[in-house]
Amino acid sequence: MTTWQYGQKRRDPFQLVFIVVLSAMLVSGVAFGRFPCQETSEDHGCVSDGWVTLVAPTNSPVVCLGNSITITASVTVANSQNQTVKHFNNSCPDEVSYGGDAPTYVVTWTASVGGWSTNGTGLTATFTPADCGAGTVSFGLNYTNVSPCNGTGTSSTDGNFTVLSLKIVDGSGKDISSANSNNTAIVGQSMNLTAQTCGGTFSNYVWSVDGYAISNYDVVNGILTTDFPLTNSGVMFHWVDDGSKSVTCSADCGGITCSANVNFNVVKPAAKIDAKTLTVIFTTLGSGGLLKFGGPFGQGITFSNTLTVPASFSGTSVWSQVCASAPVFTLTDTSGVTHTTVQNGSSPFGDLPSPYGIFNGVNPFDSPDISVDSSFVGVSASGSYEMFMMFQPSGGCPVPLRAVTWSWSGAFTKSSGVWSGTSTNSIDPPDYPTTSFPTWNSSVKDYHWNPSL
Amino acid sequence: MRKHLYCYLITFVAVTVQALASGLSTNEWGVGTNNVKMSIYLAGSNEEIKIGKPLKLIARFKNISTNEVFHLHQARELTEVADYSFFIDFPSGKRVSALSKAPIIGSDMGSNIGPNETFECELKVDKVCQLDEVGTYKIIVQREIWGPFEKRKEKGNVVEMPTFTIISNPLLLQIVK
Repeated sequence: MTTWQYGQKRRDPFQLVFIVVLSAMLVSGVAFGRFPCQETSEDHGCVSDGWVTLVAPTNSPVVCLGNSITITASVTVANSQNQTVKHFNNSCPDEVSYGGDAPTYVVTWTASVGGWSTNGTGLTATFTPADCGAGTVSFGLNYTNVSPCNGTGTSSTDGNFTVLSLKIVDGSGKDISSANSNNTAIVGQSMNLTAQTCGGTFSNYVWSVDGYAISNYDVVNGILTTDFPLTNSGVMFHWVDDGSKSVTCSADCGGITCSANVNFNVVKPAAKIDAKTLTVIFTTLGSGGLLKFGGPFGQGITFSNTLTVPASFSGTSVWSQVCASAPVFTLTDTSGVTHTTVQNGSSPFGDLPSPYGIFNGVNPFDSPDISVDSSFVGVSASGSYEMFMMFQPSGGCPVPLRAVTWSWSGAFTKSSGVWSGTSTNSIDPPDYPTTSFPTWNSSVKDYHWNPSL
Repeated sequence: MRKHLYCYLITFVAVTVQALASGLSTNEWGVGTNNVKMSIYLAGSNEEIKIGKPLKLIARFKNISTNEVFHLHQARELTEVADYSFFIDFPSGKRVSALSKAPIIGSDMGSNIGPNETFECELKVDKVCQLDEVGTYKIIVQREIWGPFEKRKEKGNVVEMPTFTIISNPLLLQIVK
């Protein structure tokens, strides 16, 4: 509700609004100083160019071949110096201000070691070398100033790294660890592997060999040497069993342990022994006689065999025979005294010489016997043997493939001038696979008679 | 006529001496016994043997029967000489007799000789004795033969086997310096 006082002049409402707005404008202009200078234009200028320089990496990594490497360089940046001049009206003075911008830059790098190299961009180089030795990463930088500056420049720096390598090579120096799925060997083959190193001096070699591997086997003396050094820069051995095998070697260099692995497919010949036997016969010969496995005209046991050597390998079969327990022979003289053989050495006994050399054509055979003359009225024999067929690859050592266990015995006496007795023997004994070596402590022929004859 | 006779005589003596000096013809056999004959001869050429040089003597057996099989026992342990007896006359008149001595216990790796077959094996006479004199030696070898197989008598696991001994031809061997 509007009230009017006496004598007050009533104003026009539009006049009142004008007065209020004008008053507000005057008050705000004075209060914030914008009045009366108003900017009319701006000028930008470059006082000085900025620059960027590369700082060398601080790390020099050492890795084993196959591992990735990361090397990071850094940059030092100096901004450009820019000048901005603002122009105003009403004769207001120019305003000058200064600022700066960081130049833009691009970094590229090239890493190389041995005959291998690669490249990339950025301050961080990550790569996996494919060669070994002392390597270098070369960083290169190109920078460009931001307008109003326009200067350009370059910078470079290097970083170092070392790649260690341990490869397994065969006797001919061929790297087999890099192609570790196509290596084939045959049982008995002389495996001569060497750790080939690069990038530094290695020590503390440790080899591991899968499967049944031996150092060597001396078939002449029946000596099996199982252990072989596993801490040298090379390793020599012979596999006895077949199948998939792995050989690993590790070694240290400057606190870094590198390792290499190689896989082999070890094959062996297909083999079979076919043993054929006759019987134990006592044969009277004039005034004496002969107790013999096989009879007077035969061969007690004959071993025929098959041996199929896998393609690309060659070798021969080698035979050896042992007796786990001593054969026992007795002779009873006309006084009734029984003389018995006693081994001078300890078991097992080798049927020497070895390799076994009694062949009928290509087939080994055995016909153990004991002869008597007219001064004896009794004779007996008992023996058990194990015949081994081994495979000796060219340049390798013999390893057992199959074996046959066989025995013979007989006991005969003479009564009223007539010999009679009993006998027994293995009949066509089967063969069986084996990885056991024929070894012995003494010769089966090293015996004496007790009492002496 | 007398000249011709002398020529024939000289030629005969020369041939005989040459034959004696150079060893034995390989066609010469000992007296056969029970259809088996044995000869011994020098392996290789018939050249004179120099003293101290290895001597390789071959024993050859021939079964002249048409239907019989014989067996030569051969001890594995002493294969070269164990089953043989040697009688060696030295140039000095000394005689060495080495009787067969196959071991009591052994393994027979002998051979069977079938009808009309021959069999040869090496005799390492050096293992019997050393021929250390220069001059002409006479060597005779003897050994036991089993068989014939066809005349055996079997009684279960006992076999009665005939045996007999044969003697080789005398081998005249010239040893020179």
